[in-house]
Amino acid sequence: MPIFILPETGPARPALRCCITLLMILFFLAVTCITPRAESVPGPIFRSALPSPEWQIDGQPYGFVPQNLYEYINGEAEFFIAFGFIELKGANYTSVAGGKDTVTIDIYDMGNKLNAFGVFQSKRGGRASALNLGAASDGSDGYLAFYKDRVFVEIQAYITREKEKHMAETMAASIAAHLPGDNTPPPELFYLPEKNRIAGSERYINGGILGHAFLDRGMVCNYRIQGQKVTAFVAMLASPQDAVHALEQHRSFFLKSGKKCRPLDRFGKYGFVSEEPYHQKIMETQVGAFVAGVYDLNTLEAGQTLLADIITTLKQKENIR
Amino acid sequence: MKEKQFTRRRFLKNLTLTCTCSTLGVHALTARHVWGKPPKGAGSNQSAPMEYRTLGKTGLKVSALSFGVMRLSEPAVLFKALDMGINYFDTAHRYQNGNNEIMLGKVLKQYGRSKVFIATKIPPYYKQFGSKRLNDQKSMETMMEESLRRLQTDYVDVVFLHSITDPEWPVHDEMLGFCQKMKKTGKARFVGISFHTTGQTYVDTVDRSLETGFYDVFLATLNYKSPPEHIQALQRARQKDVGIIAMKTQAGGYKPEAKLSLNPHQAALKWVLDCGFVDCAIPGMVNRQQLAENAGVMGKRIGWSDRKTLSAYYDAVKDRYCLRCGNCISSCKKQVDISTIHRCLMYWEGYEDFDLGRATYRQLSPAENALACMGCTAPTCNCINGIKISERMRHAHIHFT
Repeated sequence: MPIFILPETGPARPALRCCITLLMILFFLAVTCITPRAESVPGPIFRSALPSPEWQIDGQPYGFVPQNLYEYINGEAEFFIAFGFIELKGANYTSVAGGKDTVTIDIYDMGNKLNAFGVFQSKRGGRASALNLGAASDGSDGYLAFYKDRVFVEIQAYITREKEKHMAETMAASIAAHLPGDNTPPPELFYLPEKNRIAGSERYINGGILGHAFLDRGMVCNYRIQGQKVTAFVAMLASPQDAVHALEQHRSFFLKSGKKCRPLDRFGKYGFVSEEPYHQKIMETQVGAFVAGVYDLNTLEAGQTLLADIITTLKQKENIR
Repeated sequence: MKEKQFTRRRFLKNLTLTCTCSTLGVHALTARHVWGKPPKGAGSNQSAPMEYRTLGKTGLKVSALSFGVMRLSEPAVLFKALDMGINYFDTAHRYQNGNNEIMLGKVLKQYGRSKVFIATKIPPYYKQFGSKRLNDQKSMETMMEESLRRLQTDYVDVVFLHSITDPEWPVHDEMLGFCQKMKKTGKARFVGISFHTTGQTYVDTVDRSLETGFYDVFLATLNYKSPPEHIQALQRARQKDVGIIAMKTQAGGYKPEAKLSLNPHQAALKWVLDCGFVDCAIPGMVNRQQLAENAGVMGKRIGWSDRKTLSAYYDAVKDRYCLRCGNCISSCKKQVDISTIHRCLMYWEGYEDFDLGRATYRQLSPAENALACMGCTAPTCNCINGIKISERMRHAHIHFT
């Protein structure tokens, strides 16, 4: 009898099972512990950013984690932590020739693309990308920011010599090239249709769309439709049931505020139209595990077309029937 | 005799009325008393009565619950806060690279600038060659101009020197020069310092700033875990009529234990607002629910049950809440990275983010993670705050691997 066949009965079976289970646990532990350290920011990256022999890294690169980030960026640390900040690695550069000229590069590991995008957009404001760095970038000679994959990069430069002004951009390009990951934006950005979208207005909200905790996380951006500037959102919930529940909570909020909710024909059985305080008319509905909506509407016509587009896009992207 | 009794009764009646009115007038001004009729808008009919206090020597009547705008991205929450009677909003030049000031400016322009108080913060230092160097007065003035432009206003009510980490900074000529000029030109009605330093630096910062007699407001870390010397320092400041604004009022990132049914956030805020020397608190809020939770504290004093809640809350987390004193590091012979592993656990248990905890744990090398703790029969690790380190390390390894 081959030794790997377990006897069907008898005292040896439980002991063998225990041994096999133990071996599997040990194997699992060994595999997980030997996994090489997954570095989001490779160590030599700061050296690679040196633009010319005239520049050098001042001291050692530094690092911060959520517990001590406030020592570096004060209260703004809470903002990064809310977006899932894992760690910061940074370095100071100085120009040997310029004396006082310095560049500081800070690389924030935000854990995933969506978080990196969220931080970048919050700090950038409503402008389209001006530079060709990472997935999106913004800034000028003195301040540059971009994100690539799960990291957000901020570069501050104090350069007095005119011919060296472009150095920050050169260094940023080098950092962007050496960072692991890809230059594509988070897939969640494409939940919102691109047609009529105001470039640069996209935001990832973490904490409550329109200030409602039940619409905790989601994408928001502005559209120009029929001369109106309207806002569209897609809230991401854990399941279709959660999405329906969130929609019901929003409806309940309107009713308690003394606003009427009218059913939204052709947009699913949970859809409705109401008035959001300070945001004019709002229409929203449930699509799978999402709540999609449009607000800041003078008239409902523009919103209906956009909402239909959002639903189509969501169904395509997430394969929702 | 009748006449005498009548007089005494009238006297007692008048005294009672006077006391009641003055108490209401000084300590519990409602939104209606300060601003007239509540503004129209979302849920204004549901606004909780807001309590207003005088911000030290500034004389500003600020809402006891004020708003730390820093993390906020949704203007709708600001509108709701205004409707609830919150009238003091705290931002900074650096928050969200200036977008925070822009958002606040847009909302307040729509709502009416004159109805609210704005505070912003200008960084007194920059970093060069890895160390902090003080900004000169001119560059701070330039930053202030930019902040005013973003806020769409000609003045702020309070400008703070942001995050003082050296007690000597507030007495530096460049800082005093900047503050004086802001007041003189009317760009800031009052000036102050903000600080969240620890230990003796906190106390020294208060005392050195008080020596100048120049600053009107202190914005300082204060919560129920604050050491007595910090509380005493702020009390000294309040005695000199400096306005005291509390920040970081919710100590620790831990959320209430479901099994304990605790709501420590309200109790922690009550604790701060119940300190006689505190004029207002600026908890950061990002949605209406947090706003409503904090507003629920208005008009209530900290009671026995709140203290019990805070005590139970702290008891529930103290065996896990690492204060990061670092004393344990040298006690482990196997060089396990105890501090980082505690942080991983905090991500999971405190921030409720298991993925973040696991991802951080997996960045540790096999020599640093808690694999060594799994078979350690004679642990030498020791926590002076009573955390059972070896148990916690094993707990982390089992769950994160």
